[in-house]
Order: sequence, then C-alpha cells, then structure tokens
Amino acid sequence: MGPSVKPQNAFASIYSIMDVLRKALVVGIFSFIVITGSLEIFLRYTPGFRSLSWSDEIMRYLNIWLVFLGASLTARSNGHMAMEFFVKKLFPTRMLPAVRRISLGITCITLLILAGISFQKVLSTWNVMIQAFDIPIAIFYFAIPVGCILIFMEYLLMMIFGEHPFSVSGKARP
Amino acid sequence: MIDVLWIFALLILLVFLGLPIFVSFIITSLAAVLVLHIPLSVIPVKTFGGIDSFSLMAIPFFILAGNIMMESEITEKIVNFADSLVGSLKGGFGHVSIVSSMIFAGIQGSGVADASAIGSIMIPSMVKQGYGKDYSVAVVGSAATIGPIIPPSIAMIMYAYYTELSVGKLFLGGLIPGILIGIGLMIVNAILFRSRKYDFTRPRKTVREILVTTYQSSGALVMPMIIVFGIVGGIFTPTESGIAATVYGFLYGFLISKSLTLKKLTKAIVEAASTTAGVMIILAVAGVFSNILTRLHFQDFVINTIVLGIPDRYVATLAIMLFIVVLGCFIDPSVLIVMFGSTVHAAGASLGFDPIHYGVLMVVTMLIGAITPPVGSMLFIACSIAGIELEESLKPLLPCILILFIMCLAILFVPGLVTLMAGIV
Repeated sequence: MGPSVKPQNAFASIYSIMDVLRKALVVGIFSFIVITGSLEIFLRYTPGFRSLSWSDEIMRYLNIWLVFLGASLTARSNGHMAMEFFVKKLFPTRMLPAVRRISLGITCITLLILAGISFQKVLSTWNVMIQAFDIPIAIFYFAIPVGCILIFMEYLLMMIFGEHPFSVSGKARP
Repeated sequence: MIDVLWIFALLILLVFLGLPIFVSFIITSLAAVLVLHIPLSVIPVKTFGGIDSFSLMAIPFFILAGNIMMESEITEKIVNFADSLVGSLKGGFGHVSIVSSMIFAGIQGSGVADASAIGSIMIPSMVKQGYGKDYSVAVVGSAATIGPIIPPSIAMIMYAYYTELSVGKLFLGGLIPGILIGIGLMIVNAILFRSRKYDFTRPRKTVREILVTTYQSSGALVMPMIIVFGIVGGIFTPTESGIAATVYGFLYGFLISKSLTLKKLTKAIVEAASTTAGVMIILAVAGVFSNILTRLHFQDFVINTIVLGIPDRYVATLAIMLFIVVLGCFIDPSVLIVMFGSTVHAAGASLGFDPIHYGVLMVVTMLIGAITPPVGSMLFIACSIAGIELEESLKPLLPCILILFIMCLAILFVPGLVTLMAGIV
C-alpha cells in the first residue's frame, strides 16, 4: 500500500460514534441470544415452568443481524478470508497497491449490488410477519443491506486511504 | 455441465485473484443468476436462509466460550499442565505444544484459534530454548489441526449443516481420531527431536507439582466434559451445549479464575462476533451458490459420472481424498466444506459408507490443507508468529503431514475409530 492519508477529525468523530453504536448493538444482540438460550434450557429442566415458544425463531433471526454487523467488524480488521498468495506471485511488488485498489473497488460495487437487491426484499416482505410475534420478517432481512453498506464503508475507507485509517490491528491473510 | 464448469472456474479465478471469499461467492452467484435466468430474489432469500439455522448457532457460542476462557487466562494454565505431564520427556516443548493443543481443542472448535493461542506462547518459548523456528512451526501448526477434530468443532458443525447429519455424532466421531493424531504427532516429534540431536533436558515434575497444575487447569478440562456428557446424556443439543459452555465460561472467568472483567468480556464478545461473521457470511452467500448447483444437478453428475465410474469404493474414496488434498493446498478447509460438503456426503452414501464415518474422514482430509503450503491457514499463523516463510518449515512438516495421511487411511479402513464413539448418541 502507498502512504496512507489520515482523515479529518470531524470524520473520525463520526466514524467513532458509528463504531461505538455498532459494537454496542453486537454486544447487546449477542448477550440477548446467550441469555435467552440459557433461560430456555433452565426453564425446560425446572418443574412448573414451560419452555419459551419464541426463543428458537428469535435467536435464529437475531443471529443474522449478528453475522452481518460482525462482518463489518471483520472487514475493518481486514479479517475476511481471502487468498492473496497468487496475486503476490503474479504481480510485481510496485503494482500490488493498484491491484489491491482494483480488488477493493470490485468488492465495493458487489456489496452495493447485494445491498440493493436485498433492500428490495425488505420492501416486499414488510407485511410478512414472523411466527413468534407480530413483527415483520423484513426487520431481519434488513440486516443484509445494512451489513453490506457497513462492509462497503470499511472497504471504501481502505480504498481511499490506502489502509484502514481507524484499524487497530490489521490481520494479514494467506 | 458447461454451466457448472464455468461457475466453478469463475469462483476459483476470483478467489485466486485475492478477492474476499464471500465476495467471490456473491459475484459468481450474481453471474449465474443472470446467465441462467434465475429470479434475482433468490439471492436475498438464500443468503438469509444460508444461516437461518439453529444448529449453525453453535458456531458463535463455541467461539464466544473459547474467547471468554482465553480472556480468563486459561491458555497459560493449559500449557503449564501439559508441561507438567510431558515436558520432561524426550521431545520436551514439542510434546507440550501437542498436548496443549489437544486440551485447547476441547474449549475452542477452531484450528486457527488453536494455532494462534498455543503458538503465541509455545513458539517464542521453543525458539528461546534453542529449537529451530521451522521445527517449532511444524509442531505447533500440525498440532493445531487437532482443534477442529476433537469436540467441539466448527468444521463438524458446518459439515453437519450441509449434510443434515447429527452434530453430536460427528463431534463424538472425531474424538478418537483427534487423540490418535495427537499421539502420532508426539511420536514424530520424539523422532525429530532425536534426529536433530536436541538435548534440552527438563526436570521431571513431582506428583505435587502435577496435582497443582491439574487443579489450576481444571477449568479448561471441565468444559469439554460439559459438552460431551451434555450431548451424550441427552441433556443438551449441540447448540445448547455451546450455550452451556458459554455460561460456564462466564462463571469460570468471574467466580473461579476471577480474571475476567466487564471490559475483557466486551472484548471477547466483539471478537467472537467478528470471528463468527468471518465464517458465517461465507455460509450465507454460499446458500445462493448451493441452490444454483442443485438446480444444475451438479451432485448427480459427480456421483453418476465420476464416483460410480470407479469400480472399487475404496479406490473411489481415495480419489476423492486426493482431489480434496490437492484443492486443500489452495483453499481453506471451511470453504472446501461449503463447496463440496454435501457432494462428498452424497458420494459416500452412494458408495455404501456410513455417513458419520465418511463425514469425519472427509473433515480430517480437508484439514490437511490447513498445514500445507502455499496457503495453509494454521501453518500461516504459526509462521507469522515465528517470523519465517511457509516454505522454510516444509522439511520438518512433511512427517507431520504424513501422520495426518496415515490417520486418514486408518479412518477409511477402520470405521470403528469413528463409529465406536459416534454410536453412543
């Protein structure tokens, strides 16, 4: 990668707020899933109590939010599985930053397309309710476009600044 | 069949061009959907459906449980315990690495986590004592493959998801092969140790010292028991055993080791979400890919044209294993499971093998790729810690890889190694 440019302070603040919110959501969802699952086991083995009828469905759907929010955190640390071995062998070192930018560009476009297609699904399922509660399944489908946009943003930052400007630890992949 | 060929060619090309694997799956699926005139709505529906599974939720739970245990500083205690047991034997720190990996496998279902946690402690210690970096990398990297074989195992959960097999049976089926691989690696380590004329003698621990380290590491030894006995006893489903392991991790960290803080817990949760997502987003987008292959009758073609075209079922299986090992040199085991899990399962069934036996065999075969150059993920982590190139560790690594091959052949010809334990549930 070429020399990285640091973003302006205002942008850094906005990113920081977004990052805190994202992590808070991840911690909240993960904790809720673990507590619900534990409660389900506890109630099953406690005489006089009945299992939660809604837990299985809600946990599965919340897990989808967890995966797509988590995927943006993985993108931030450049942790998504990728095989850079052949690229490093194929191209001379001086060309690698350009190749990386092209790769990031293709990734960003792909994520925008997936976000667009998934958002159409959100709109078309707004009146379809899940079994457990009177909640539209669209809320859970919404995890895909939101996740894609967040991942897109992380990769866009890498493309613009050369490396992720806010990454605490870059994880290299084979 | 032409469609299947170009779809696979495009996917492999994109992967080799260095795009993230999940992005390669999305692009390939988009291209296939457009060319084959499949409705676009299949993409979000199958992406959602690709991870909408209660059994798959075991993955985040086991990762979180392992992270909490690591934040509770369990890794050092595991290493101390292994050191007290085998540290004084010929092979010293190599044996300690292998036994530590076997114990660590019981609290973390990921080989990459195993290589990273054990490697970061053992490799610097081994190098400091005078072991070669290549030797240290070979031992630690190959021992990390035990992580996804001894239960819990993320690879087994993924395989079970694609084949609709019992996670519990696959978990237990991996137990004996995992232990045997550990013993095999210890034998190789002892031979390498002697052939390199290492003479690092360490004092034998007293019974009291062994008891103390056993007590200190008992937190790690209890977790696999909760998982295995919970499943065998019918108390938990495998996913629920992940929840139980997580709750145990909280209790251990806060009440027993008292080294877990809220800050560390938050870090463990965020990192678990990130690690989980790295695996599960591939499963999500591969849902579209699998659907397209099903529409193209890929599985029927492979079985009828290739697998059943070979007269002997063992020869056919060896051919499948060879194909997987070759691909595994370039593609991560988890991606191999996503791409070929259901196909090899169907092939095994059509050849008349027990599905659990065949499943464990294929997962172990796929894991060989994790320690083979040029892109073995576990080997890569061990090399990064030691600061050497992958190719430099090849010489001491070859006998370790050979042990895995021998173990695969043993599993193939002695199904009891898997079915003995799997039959309990």
